[in-house]
Amino acid sequence: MTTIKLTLLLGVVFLSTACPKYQPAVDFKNPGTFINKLNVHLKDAQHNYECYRFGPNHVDAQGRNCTGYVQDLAKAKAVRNELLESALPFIDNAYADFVIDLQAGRDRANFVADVLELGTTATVGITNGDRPLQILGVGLTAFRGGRRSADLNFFKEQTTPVLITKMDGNRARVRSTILAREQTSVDDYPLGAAISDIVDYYNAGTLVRAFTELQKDTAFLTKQSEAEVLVRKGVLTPEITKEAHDLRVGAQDSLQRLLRELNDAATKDSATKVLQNIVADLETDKDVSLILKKPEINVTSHDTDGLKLRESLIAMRRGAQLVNDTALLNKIDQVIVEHESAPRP
Amino acid sequence: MLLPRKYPKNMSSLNGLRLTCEGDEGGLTAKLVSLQLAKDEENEDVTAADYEVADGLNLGHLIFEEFTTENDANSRTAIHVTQHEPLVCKGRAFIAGQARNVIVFRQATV
Repeated sequence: MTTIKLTLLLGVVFLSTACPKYQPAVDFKNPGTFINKLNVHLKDAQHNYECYRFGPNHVDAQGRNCTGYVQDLAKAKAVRNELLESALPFIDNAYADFVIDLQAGRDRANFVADVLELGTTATVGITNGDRPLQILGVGLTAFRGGRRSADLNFFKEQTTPVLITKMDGNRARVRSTILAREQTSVDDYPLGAAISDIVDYYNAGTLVRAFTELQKDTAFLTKQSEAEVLVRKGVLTPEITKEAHDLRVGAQDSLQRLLRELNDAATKDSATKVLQNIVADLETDKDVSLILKKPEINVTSHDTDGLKLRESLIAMRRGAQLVNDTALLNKIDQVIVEHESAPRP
Repeated sequence: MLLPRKYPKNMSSLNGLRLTCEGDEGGLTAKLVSLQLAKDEENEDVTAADYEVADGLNLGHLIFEEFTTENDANSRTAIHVTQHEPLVCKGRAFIAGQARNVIVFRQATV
């Protein structure tokens, strides 16, 4: 009886855990492999990088001097990028093996466990006698509990495709970051940071990182649920029409161009004149002229400060937009667009 | 200075929301900084948007996308960053009565 219990316990533990690995194995120290050649290549690349970056008087981290080199930051950048791109395929290769092992190992373990569980369930149906049925029942419960515990503790109750998708996503994110950083100079992205990114790329393809990222997803969704309780006061802004949108964006673009012109000595005067003409045109409208005289706007077409004229128009538009006064906004925006797009003398 | 806005639940589409937000950016001379689900004083569902006063930006030129998971959002962000389209905000909004995950980027300046 003790033997049966012991066998049952060991069987449950063995079949339900499937001995999971948490990360891909990249052995950079294995001699006689291409990895070893890569290590030599990395050393040479680092030497070249440091010499191109710091010039002929520099002594690199391995004690070799840089005599004969000429400082060239563009070459240092090229060496850095080459070093990065030659290291990443090894991590990709190890990751591919890891994913296949993870998928195949867990599938096999689950298949064996399913067969055992179904077999035992079937046996329960055809077995006579209370005692054998009791033993099978207890064994089945223990086995199911063991599988559940393994899924919970080793895989945090996540299916393999979810974990692989998460790891793929993590890796893609780091890869994109590396690609973007490769465009930057060696001052902004030195070799140390590049190596740190290689490590980050490796870590992105581990189960541990997948679990933590999944936890973040849950936290994000919780935060989103909490956000739903926000109470927003104020006026409801209806969906904008295409015409109103184009006018709004067009006027904003006009004001943006006028700002550029105001900041350029060669075009400052003509931009100021355009702004004066806009305000003069608005002054002819009875309703708008009252707004122009308000203390917070306070502008006339006789003002000669282009920036002030522009700021006043922005303040007036903002005030109208906040209360959804579409009619006023359309009036102002049409005048802005017409005057700004008209040919200048 | 933060300028709060709210949009109805029945926004016709993601493009409708984009146009409305771009219109607000243009009219307010402010940049969109957040989108989230909210309720109004009558307990009706609304989309709350916040804008921050900004001048000199490429205002009114946004890219709206729907995302599924945080992972998806991160991937989208990484792709857009390489195209010089920075992340504006990531949040939730009502589209045709349904709550959706929305991520927004600013178009690259020409």
